[in-house]
Amino acid sequence: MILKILKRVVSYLLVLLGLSVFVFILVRVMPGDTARLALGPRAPEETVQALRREMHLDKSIPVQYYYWLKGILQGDLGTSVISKRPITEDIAFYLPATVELALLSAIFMATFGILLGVTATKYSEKWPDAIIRVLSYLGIVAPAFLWAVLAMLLFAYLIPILPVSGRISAGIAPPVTRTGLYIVDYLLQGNFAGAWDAFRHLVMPAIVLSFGGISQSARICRASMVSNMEKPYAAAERAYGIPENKILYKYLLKPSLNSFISVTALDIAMLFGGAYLVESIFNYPGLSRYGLTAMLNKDVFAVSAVMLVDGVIVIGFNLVTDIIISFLDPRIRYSSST
Amino acid sequence: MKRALAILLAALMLIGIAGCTDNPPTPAGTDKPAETQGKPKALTIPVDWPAYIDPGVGSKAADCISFVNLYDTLVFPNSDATISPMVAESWEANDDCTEYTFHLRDDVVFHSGNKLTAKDVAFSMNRMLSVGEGFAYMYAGLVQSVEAVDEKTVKFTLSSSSGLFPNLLIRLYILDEATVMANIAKDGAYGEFGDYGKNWLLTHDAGSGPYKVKEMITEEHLTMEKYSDYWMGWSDKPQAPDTVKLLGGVDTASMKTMMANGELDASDDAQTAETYAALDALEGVEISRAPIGVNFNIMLNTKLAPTDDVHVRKAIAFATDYDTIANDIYIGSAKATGPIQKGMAGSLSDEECPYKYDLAKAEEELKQSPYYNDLISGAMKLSLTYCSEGGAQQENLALLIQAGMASLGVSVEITGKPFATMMTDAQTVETTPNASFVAFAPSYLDGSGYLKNRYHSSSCGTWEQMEWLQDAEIDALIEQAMSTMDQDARNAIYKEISLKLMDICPTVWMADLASSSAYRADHFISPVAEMFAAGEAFIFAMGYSCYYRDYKILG
Repeated sequence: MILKILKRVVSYLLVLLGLSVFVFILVRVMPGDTARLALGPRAPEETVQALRREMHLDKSIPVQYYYWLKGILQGDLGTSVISKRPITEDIAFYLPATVELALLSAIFMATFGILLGVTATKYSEKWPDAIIRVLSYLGIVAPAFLWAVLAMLLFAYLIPILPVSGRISAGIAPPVTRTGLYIVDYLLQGNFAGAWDAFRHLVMPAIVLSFGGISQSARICRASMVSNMEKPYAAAERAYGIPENKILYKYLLKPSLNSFISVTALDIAMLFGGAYLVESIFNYPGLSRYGLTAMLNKDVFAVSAVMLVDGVIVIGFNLVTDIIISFLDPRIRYSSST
Repeated sequence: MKRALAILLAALMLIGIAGCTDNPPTPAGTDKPAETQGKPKALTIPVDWPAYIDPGVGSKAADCISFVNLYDTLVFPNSDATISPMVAESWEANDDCTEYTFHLRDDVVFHSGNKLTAKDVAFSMNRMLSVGEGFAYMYAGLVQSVEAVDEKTVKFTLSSSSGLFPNLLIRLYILDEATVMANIAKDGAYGEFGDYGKNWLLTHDAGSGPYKVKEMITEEHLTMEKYSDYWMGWSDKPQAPDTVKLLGGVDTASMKTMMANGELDASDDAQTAETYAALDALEGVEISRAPIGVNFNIMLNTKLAPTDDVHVRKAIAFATDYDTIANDIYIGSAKATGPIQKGMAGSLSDEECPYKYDLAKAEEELKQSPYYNDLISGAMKLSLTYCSEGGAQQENLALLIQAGMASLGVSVEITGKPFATMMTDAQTVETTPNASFVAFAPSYLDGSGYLKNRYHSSSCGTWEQMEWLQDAEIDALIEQAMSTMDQDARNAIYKEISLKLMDICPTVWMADLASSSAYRADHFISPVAEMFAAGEAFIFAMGYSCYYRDYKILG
């Protein structure tokens, strides 16, 4: 098992290296002059040239890659031409914001995905199942920005109960940074009002972001459970007179979770890099919005860093998912150890 | 599973209960906490982000808004494009306008408590030139040296004669040398000056302006608060806002909601006509429109066929429907009368600008072109590039030009490109399209602010001059005007240049743009809104329409 994980880690590291080369070349062949964009269209040419030299943009792409990789290995991701500060500082701010958003979305995704999946299984081919099916299709088909606008209209305009912008309200001081997750940091400080305010700011974007994932998870959960329900052990449990809810949640859910976990984990991983629209619409200062701004301004180092961080997150999630599944499913665990 | 769910719900309830007891949700779901509502006179305004609040670094709209409020300048631009003394009480120049001596007030105090002296002015200019970013291009190559003669006198020596040097100084924001030097990072790129305080000035100010930085969150907002010891005082400005928050990254989709529930007090100026109409329909919200000195041009490449022929260029100018542009696309804008914003000294009148929407004249011009047959047969097409970041307005405008030329039988190939790509294309004659849309904003309000950057040969190969005019006579006239100190004489030369440009028609001057903004008229009123409502003529240099000391919070 450990050997298998180690093999996976090595293969993922190679994927990361390949990704870094791909990303590096891609952002550099994008049209536009990074130094000129950074300094403005009217900056004197000498100043622009000096910045090009400082950023090694006057060198060939392989040489630039060498300097970049060397920097990364020393923990230096470069300086953002947009924020004018080290990218590590930017990521240290934006990543926790996105992690907090993704975590709450993941909680919504897993909780409601399972609840809806189990309910649809329980009432399979009856009207609750039909309603859940329609809602699921809607969630999958409609893009997140549509839900964002609808949610905003409903909860901030018609029934104004939630804020639509930022991480905290004006007039509330940010928490002392310990984890970067505002709710956690406020709670660690004992500032419950701050935690509540941060939570209120998170609710709408998190719900919107989780909508597609909930729908997908619910469908997968249902499909797996319905398939397992037809197996002899489920019939035996019914014959013993075990209550239906107990059969569903205790005996059927666990063996049905493999595909659910695989897909949901990937969905959660994709939240980190795929929240561009939601973070933009809700003016939420997360990594996706930062990446988008960097891309539009051809902030080459920042774009490369964001894509690399996203890559690490997706790969990390894959690895953790593999491990969880192998623990949940003895067949995989034993096959890998033999 | 059940246990995990119970723990999660309990945690959420705990936060909820605590939140309800310690800090009740804000009224009506607004983003402003209950305890702060109604007390301070506050404004929240969306801006393009990020804002660079270091005067040696920034130069775009949001940066300028912060500069004019955080810093003082030697001279102040008025709403009629003239300048008034500010920190400088008076000034004089030598005969050939190569040396300027400014005499400073002695009651200006920085936010740090330090007194503003001539040394600070010299430091600010030297810092700007050394850093080379932001507005440095206005002074680089012109300012040879700057010297603090005594505490109240500063002398600028120029490398060439300039009659309008005082006008340029609206962008020299004066920094407190002692504060900056106390906060430099030693290992910077500027020798004994370290990083020249660049890192510190990302989030702090070293100014003497009416507002000072309260909080600068690089990721999302700048909050400025009133500087109570401001040298001009506040007694005549009792309604000025106590705090102003410049909020970055507000999406169009959320703007209406935020304005409706009081999270925002105004919109930005980049919305479509439909969005402004929707915002206007909100209770208490009104629209104001301000000329901001920006003219919107079709730059015609005079070195690339078929726009290298003056008749083709004139045909495009006559086939442009100026009324539709001003009434339906850039609402509130005025038809431009030439390269200098209409109404400014040195600009042309309506009668002096021959170009009006007239398809018969357009056809007449086209027929005189050697390219006529090729253009009509479709063997030759016009390439037109618009800025894809310019939104639906530029796209509609491109379609309007295409339709106008189609009615003459000429095909126009439209391409939307990011501004970054347009800048790259502008570097050579061959890659510069026949026609390019560019909105041009001068850094200071004077005829030369328009003419020098737009038509002097030194700007060829940049986005500012995709015409590739390279006309020695125009160059000489621009240089002559800029070295003339007498304003009337200078304006006469500007007019002469404008008339010559009319003849060769390198540009279609489509509109003098108005910056539109929806604002909560039941909460505040700005000088722009007042002048707009009164129908007065006015023009503001970039950023100066947001001089918050002159704003009035109502109620």
